[in-house]
Amino acid sequence: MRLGNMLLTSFAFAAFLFILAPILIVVAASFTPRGYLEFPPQNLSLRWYEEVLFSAVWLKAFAVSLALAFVTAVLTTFICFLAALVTTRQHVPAKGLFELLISMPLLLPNAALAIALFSFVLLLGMRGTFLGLTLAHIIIALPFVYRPIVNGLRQLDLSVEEAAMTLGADPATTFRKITLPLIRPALISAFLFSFIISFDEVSVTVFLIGLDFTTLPVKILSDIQNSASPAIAAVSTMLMFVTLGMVFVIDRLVGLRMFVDYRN
Amino acid sequence: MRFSSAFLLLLPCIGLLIGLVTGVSTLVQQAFTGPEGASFVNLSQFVSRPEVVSVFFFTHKIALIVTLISVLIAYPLAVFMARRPNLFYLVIILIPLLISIVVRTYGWVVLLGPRGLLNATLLNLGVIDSPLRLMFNTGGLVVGLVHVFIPFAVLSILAVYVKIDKSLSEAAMALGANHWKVFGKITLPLALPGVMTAATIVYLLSLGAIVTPLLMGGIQQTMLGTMIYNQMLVYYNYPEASASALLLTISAAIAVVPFQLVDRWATRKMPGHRV
Repeated sequence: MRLGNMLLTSFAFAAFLFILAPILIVVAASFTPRGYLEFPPQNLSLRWYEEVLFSAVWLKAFAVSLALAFVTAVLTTFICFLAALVTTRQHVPAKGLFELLISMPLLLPNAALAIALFSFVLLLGMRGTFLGLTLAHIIIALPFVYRPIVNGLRQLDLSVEEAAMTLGADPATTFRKITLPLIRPALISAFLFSFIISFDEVSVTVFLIGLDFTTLPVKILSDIQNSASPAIAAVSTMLMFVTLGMVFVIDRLVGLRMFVDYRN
Repeated sequence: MRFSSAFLLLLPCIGLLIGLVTGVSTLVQQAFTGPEGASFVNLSQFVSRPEVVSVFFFTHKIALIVTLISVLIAYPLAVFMARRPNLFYLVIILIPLLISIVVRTYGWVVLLGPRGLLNATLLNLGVIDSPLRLMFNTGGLVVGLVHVFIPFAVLSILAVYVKIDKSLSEAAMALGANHWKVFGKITLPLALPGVMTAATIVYLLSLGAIVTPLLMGGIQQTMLGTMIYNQMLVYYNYPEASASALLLTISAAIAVVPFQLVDRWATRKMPGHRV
């Protein structure tokens, strides 16, 4: 079966190349000195990075995206932590319905979710505002954040808390000194994930932005439709590096293996 | 007392969920709103207007093609990754998942576009005289969608595949079964729930896609997602967009039923499954 193994390996590497190709191409294209994309680039230049970093429009979109992702991540993690504390430790009526609703943003097709969230934000009169966008992003991130926190709390050994209480710690001290440190890895990964989800989100966001208020991915989307400037490649590369930085932090703090359980 | 204070902790989450439910019910209400009050006018065009009907069927056709291709690529890839547990391979699969869909689709535009790298290179080498149409057609659209959704498929299959007991295949081989027989009788049936999860996810994601068909499809390749985008942001027709979104959701719910049935059937046939 040597031949079969070789075939499988070459197939896998071809697939990996297919997966990475468009991403690597964007990075390569961002260093072109010309006004259009060329391959192979004659020489390298940071011209387009300069143009982006001195453009008020790109910088503003970048700032909006960062702020939005940060606020979304803080609030989503906090809200889901509170909810998970209750659902894992107390009898909650209609818990099944509650958890079904939390996973609804995952089950609805993207375009339908976009219209639903648009309707909600419009009803609040918050279309084109930071607050409206934040609410939509939190709802989108809910299922991705609630699950890991619930799993983290389930794995927590309750007898440690009981021991602390028996030794005279009041509930607040127990929570601060025992529960919180034990659940911290789950909270940190939940925070980083909701950050990435919000920072990258575009298909719902595009319905909610205002006239002079946009996020980085939405600005990239509209620029791709309107121009072929290599500046888009430079911005995309920068966006990518923010995300990859986050992935690096996740790997350092909790390990990427949490995605697949290799242990049998 | 304890119950009421616990309920307070749930309130922010419940508030947001009420918001989501309100949004969905507004969508349904809008879908049944005509120029003069309640009506079926928005939904009936999915029967009466041929171009809208064809968008509906085209979307499901593309979703089916993308699901088939994704699973066919993802299955061997998951087998490879299960046999060689290597963090590096896992990172290759995870990275695209975490990079914005706009950036990934832009990569294909740079690569396959009319003035993209592939066309430019071929023109420079004198292989072709005029740019090839590699994008803005069904092929380009399928390539873009498969690329976006393949990590989901690989992860779903891999999660199930790594849990299959290796001694089952070894026993079959020792008893004289060849690789194809082991695949057909042991590994594939056991991995089937993972394959069906992958198919469900990819089908649902393809149906609702907006960005990829917007950037890589042509006028002929309008999908429900792009149609909703246009109805909402180009024609400002909120009721029509809501009707499309409603039909998209209902047809998605119906379309994934076969995958779920196969999943249930495969699980029931598993050794050790108690009814």
